[in-house]
Formats: sequence, structure tokens, C-alpha cells
Amino acid sequence: MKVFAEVFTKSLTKKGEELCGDSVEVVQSEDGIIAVMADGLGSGVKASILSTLTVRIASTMIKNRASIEEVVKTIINTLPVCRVRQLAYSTFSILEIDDDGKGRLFEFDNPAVIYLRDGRVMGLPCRELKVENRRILEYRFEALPGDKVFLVSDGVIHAGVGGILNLGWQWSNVAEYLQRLDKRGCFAAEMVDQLIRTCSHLYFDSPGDDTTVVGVGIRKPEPLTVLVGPPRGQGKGCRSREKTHRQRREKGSLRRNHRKYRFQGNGKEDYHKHGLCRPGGTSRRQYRRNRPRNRRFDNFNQVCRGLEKFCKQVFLFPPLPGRDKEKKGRRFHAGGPARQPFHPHPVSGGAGGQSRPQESIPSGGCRRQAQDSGGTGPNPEKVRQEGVYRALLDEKEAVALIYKMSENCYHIY
Amino acid sequence: MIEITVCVGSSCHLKGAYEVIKEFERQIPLYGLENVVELKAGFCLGRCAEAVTVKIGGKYFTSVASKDVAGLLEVVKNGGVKED
Repeated sequence: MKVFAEVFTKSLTKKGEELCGDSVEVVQSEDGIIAVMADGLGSGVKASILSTLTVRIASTMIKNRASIEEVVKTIINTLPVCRVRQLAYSTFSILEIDDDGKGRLFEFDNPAVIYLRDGRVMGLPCRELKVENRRILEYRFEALPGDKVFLVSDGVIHAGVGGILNLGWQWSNVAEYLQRLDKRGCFAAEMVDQLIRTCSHLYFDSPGDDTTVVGVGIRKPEPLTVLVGPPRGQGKGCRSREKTHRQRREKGSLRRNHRKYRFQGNGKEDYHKHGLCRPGGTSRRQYRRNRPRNRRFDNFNQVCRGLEKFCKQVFLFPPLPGRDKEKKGRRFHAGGPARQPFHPHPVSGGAGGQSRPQESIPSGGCRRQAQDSGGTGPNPEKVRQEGVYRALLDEKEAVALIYKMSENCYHIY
Repeated sequence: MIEITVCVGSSCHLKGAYEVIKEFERQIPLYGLENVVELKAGFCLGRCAEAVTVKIGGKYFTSVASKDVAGLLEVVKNGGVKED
């Protein structure tokens, strides 16, 4: 695997509508990702139906290696015809990026793609296809780590139409804006965020059209190891907190003719043999399997709790030398309001080697922080390759991070 | 100032609203109307079946193609459309 593509998307819904008429779907295929964005004709429910159908059809068919001709034909023949406009229509962009960096993009009537490389908008070689009398643009490119691809719906290009801007924001200005953000060193996730926020401003917070941005950041794959500890054994969903058979019996919550009632022993032997020490209804093997030390995490909350624990452990580590006092103090003040964004460190034998935070963050939403490198540690690049990071975060940040990861990132390594 | 609003909703966009806008941009100086009209794009004007829709002053013109632009500007120049 040479590159890894992370996809972030955000939408604004036209004012007064409940549903967004643009849809985005990202699927993981065998050897890469496929991101599809569609903009249905009109707005609201009708548009939503059209675009959802389109993205579904396109993503599923492309995933199963159908050709673009087939996809377009299927979409055209499937979409319901709008009664008002006598048209069945939805624009779409289909972006495919393989793990080895090969990219393909099909575009039908959407604003042209904005491809950024090294802080510059890059023109991609494109070819025109005619399928069923529709003009489809096909781009092929080689994605390199650091590239960013933005698919935008026409709501972005038209932001501010008839309001502050006579003719809307226009493609060239959007591209320039993204270019500026990229030069500033923003992540794809941040750029999506910023762009959508700017659009919202241009619309005076009441969008005149559905607006969608899909940002794809290409990066080197970076395996992240997250150590997850057992849950504290409290709260809902934790098996070990369930009352044992004996406790339940004593409390009187068991019916007299309960099947397990006959196992009421007195000696210690009976107590273990008949499972009176275990939560009701669990066999001995099962109980062992569910014991906290090696329990499986069935739902996400528990993973979070595990991470909380993990973070507590992390805070017990001695401070790394080479950091100034103020930072040290901050770092060890757990539980307070989050002041420092997520800032992972390589485990580097106690030396002050600073990893480059912007590269070691596994997913979006975390702000890059300008930090001066302190001390002369081992080469951060080298340390980073070990794939072990020490995350310095307090509990709140950690939990927020995990939620962000699940929300934004389509595959977490 | 007379407002010329060209619809850029999906329907009109599909039928080439952008060509119409470009044509307007090109033709307005030729007719010397820079100070008389203001060109704007706008969202759906509600006449999707007869795209492209252009609203000049208070009047709607439907099924406009780029070749019709000159005619429309002629009308504007001759005072055929009033400010709304």
C-alpha cells in the first residue's frame, strides 16, 4: 500500500428544506476507495432521492468493476422523472483512488475538480466521453502523498449569488481560496470545514442551494497502535457488574421456581461449582471469557472507557526531558479544559525528539500546532517508523478523538 | 439600474445558463449598457420546464439561448423593460 486516502465531507442544506439534495457515499473497495458525490435536480426530498439513488448505484457498480458506460446507462434508466421539469437528472462525480496511488475521476456536470499539489491547483489531463448523449469528463492521475482533491457541488460555486456576489463565488475564486489554505498548511479536514463555513457566510447563513464539499487527503499510510485497557467495570453494559446469582437471590429478584434456584449450596465448593459467584446465567467458561482482563469490546462506549483508562496510564509516565516547564505543567494537569490539541509523541527512550505532529495524527479534526523542536533527540523520522506513539491527551480529548475518528475517517488502521 | 438575473438552478444550468451569462457579459459593453444594467445570477426562478430563464427588471424571459441575448439587450436599450 503506497498511499492512503482519507475522505471528509460536509454539506449545507438549502434553507427551509429538511433534507440535503446532495449525497456523498464513500466505499472501500478491494484495492482502494471510491467516493461518489451527486447533486439531484431541485432541492429537498426530491433531490435527495435522486442523488441518493445515483450515489448508491454508482458506488456499488464501480466497486464491482462495472464500466462507466454501464453506470451512466443504469442511472439514466433508473432515476424517476421530475413532474415539474420533465427531466430525470442528477449530476455526479466519481472518484476512485487505488492503494498504489492510481486515481480516476468521472465527472458529469459537476463543477470541475480542484486538485492541489504542493500548494498549487493542478490541471489534470482530461478526456471527454459521450455516453447516451451526455458529456462525461474522465480524468486520470497519479496521486502522491500530500495531494488533496476537492469535489464541490454547484452550491459552492454559486455561494453568495444574488446576495453579496452578483455571479456567485465562482470556481477560480474557490480554487484560489483552497490554494491559500493549503499553503498555510491546513489538513484536508480543516479545509473542508473552512470552505463550508465560508460558503455559509457568503449565503448569510441561509443557503440558497444545497452545498457540499468532499475533501480527499492523500497521505502515506501510517499504522497507529492504540492501547486499550479494560473498562472500569462499572456502568451499563459491563457484564462483570451484573449481580451474581447469590446476590440476586438474596435481593429476592429470583422467582422461587427459577431454574437455577436449585443450585444453592452452602460450602465454598458449591459456591464455585454451581456458579453462585458468577453473574446469573453465565457458564464458567463464558464467565472467564467475559472477565475484564481479556474482555471483548462490543460497543463503542466501552472502547472509549478503555481509552480513558489508557490515557490515565499515559499520564503516569514521567515527563520527557527537553520540554519547558510550562508545557510540562500543562501536560500533567489532567481533566481540565482542553488547552492543547492532540499531540502525539513517539516513544523515544525519554529523549526530546519531536515528531512532526501534522504527520502522525491518524485522522482529521486535530489542529496542527506550530511547535519549536526542543532538544536534540533521535531522528524523529526514524522513530516514527516504529509505529508506536505516545499520545499526550487528557481523557476528554481522547474520547473526542475517538469519536472524530469514527465519524470522519472511513478506515482506521 | 435594471437588474438582469440569469437563473443558474440545476435545470437552467443543464440547458446552458453559463453560456448565456458569458454572452451577456460580452454583449453588455457592446451595447454600452454597463451603467444601465446589473448582471446577476440567481437561484431557481421557478420556470424549470422552460429553461433558461432570465429575469430583466420585473419581466421573465424563458427559453433563452445565447443567441437570444442580443435581442434581449436590444429590448433593454430601447426602453422595453422598466425598472421594478
